[in-house]
Amino acid sequence: MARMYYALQSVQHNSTPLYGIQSIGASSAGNVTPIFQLGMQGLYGSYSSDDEPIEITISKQLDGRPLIYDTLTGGANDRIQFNFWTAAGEASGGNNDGQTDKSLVMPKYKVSSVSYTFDVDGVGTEEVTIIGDGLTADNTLTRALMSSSIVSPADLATRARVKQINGGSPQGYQSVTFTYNLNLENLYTLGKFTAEERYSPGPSETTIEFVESVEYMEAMGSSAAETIGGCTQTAIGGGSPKSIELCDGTKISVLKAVSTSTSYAGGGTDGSPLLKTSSWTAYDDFAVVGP
Amino acid sequence: MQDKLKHLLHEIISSKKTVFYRNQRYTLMNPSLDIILEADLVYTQYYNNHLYDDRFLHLENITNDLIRYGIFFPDNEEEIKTKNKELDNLKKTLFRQYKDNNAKNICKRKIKFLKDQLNKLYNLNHYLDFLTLEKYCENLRYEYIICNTLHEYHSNKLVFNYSNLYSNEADLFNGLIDAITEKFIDLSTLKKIVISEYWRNIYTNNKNNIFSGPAIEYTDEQKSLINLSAMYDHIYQHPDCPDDEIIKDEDALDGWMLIQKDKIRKQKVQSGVNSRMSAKVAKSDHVFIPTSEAPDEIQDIIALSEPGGGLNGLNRLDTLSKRN
Repeated sequence: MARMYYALQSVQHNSTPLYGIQSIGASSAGNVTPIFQLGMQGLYGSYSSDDEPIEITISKQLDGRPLIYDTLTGGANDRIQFNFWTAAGEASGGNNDGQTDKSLVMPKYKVSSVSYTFDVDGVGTEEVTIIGDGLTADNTLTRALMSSSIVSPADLATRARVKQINGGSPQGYQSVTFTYNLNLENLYTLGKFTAEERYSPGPSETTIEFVESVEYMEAMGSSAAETIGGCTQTAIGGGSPKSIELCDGTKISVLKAVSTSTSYAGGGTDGSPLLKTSSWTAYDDFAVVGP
Repeated sequence: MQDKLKHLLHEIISSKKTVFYRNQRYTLMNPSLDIILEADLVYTQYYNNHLYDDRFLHLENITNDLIRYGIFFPDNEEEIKTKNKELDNLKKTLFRQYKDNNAKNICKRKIKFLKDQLNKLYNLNHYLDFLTLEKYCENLRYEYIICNTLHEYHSNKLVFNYSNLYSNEADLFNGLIDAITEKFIDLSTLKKIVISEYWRNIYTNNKNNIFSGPAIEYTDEQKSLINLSAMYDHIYQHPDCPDDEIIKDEDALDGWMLIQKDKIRKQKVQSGVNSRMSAKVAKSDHVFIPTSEAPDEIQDIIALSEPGGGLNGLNRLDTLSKRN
């Protein structure tokens, strides 16, 4: 379908605004399924699956304020609320005088995946995907107006704010990504179109990727003297802990990760540095501590 | 090219104008830099000496004065903005529907009506300008330049002496000012000259050396001619260059340019938005981008949607809600 863009005023979890939001994407698999029958060229019938769950991905810059993952996994009866601006004259009675024009609420949702990315460029990001049954309009709720109060980031997660990686110095690392995926599945029942429940069939998978500068590590006499040539290092003792810790206290970690691949790139005649990319996986093992 | 336009072009190139008044022929020369400098001094001197003179209004307060005298109202300012936007939209529609004669004629009538309305509003907005110190000084500057550049055709002598301008020649001076004002070439006529074959032949032969002397000494009309020619160069070289009939129609061409401007603006906004979207968000059907309450910013984001966006999109998102 044609992509739609919306001017977002704010996002709230219950009544608490979420800060540092960069963009949000929503998708639904809803469509019309045609039914044909033998002996008939035209359409015999169709059914709509408009009530497929909506998947919403929220992207945030890590700014020293509470993590979305921490906030959204808070408790029961939670709702997430999106407040939109609409163009002048678009909505009846619409205005741009400090009040949003429309709010959509997802009253029942589950976190389906979360991802943290740290790179030498820019600011670390958190990306949380939630799945819910639908968004409903509700203009009776109180809205948080971001533009009415100027709030600065508490502690932007730039490269200089990375305190430790894997319990040691972050020097030499170019980027780190942690992705935790619950692989949610829908449980349907007869008599109801929408999912009765969503569950993780398990195990939940965490994938981790490190990109390191090999030349730097060798120059520093690093212990990571693996054989260059694409050999995969076997995890010792059934897995090793992987983590990243920021100066503001944020820590993302797994206890036992096993290596799945290692590759090298760069180091060519163009003078580009030799970079090692190592991927790791852990199951039912993921912990996040917010700032 | 019509002879009248040719003659106007010849006058522009020659840097002088021939003025007829009361069966006499006069020549208005282009002012030298020295004369312009002196005229600036006339302006500054009078301005500084009368800065606190209660008889004058000031341009910076003119809107308040207009409101105070009940000539112009804050609503009128908003009306000008709205009508200008409406005019822009009509010009875009004119360009899009140019092949449909019926729609084209309706658009043209609406554009003419809107332009008339806007002119009335602009006139109201500038109704008291002649009472301002700035406008008065501007007139003094202009008078100084006219006095030092208007010659009798046959004797080539200056017609007026600025120091005793108002003593015995005021009537003649005012009459000549009116005659000179009539000789000014409006923008539409300049555009007609610029797209004429006659001018294009001259211009393309040597774009950088058409008029004699340095650029600072070009007349205002010469500068406009060069700038407009450069603008039309860009249009002719554009990959989506419109047809000749559009180029000849000022309003339709404005519509084409506004559409190009919108496209560039949309590309800039899109590129800014892209930089804020993660790969996963970028694949979504519905993208929410945080904005301030500035109407332009909101409109820019909503305009990125493919047809059916905006509130319809919100409603569509809304209807994705459950139906048990």
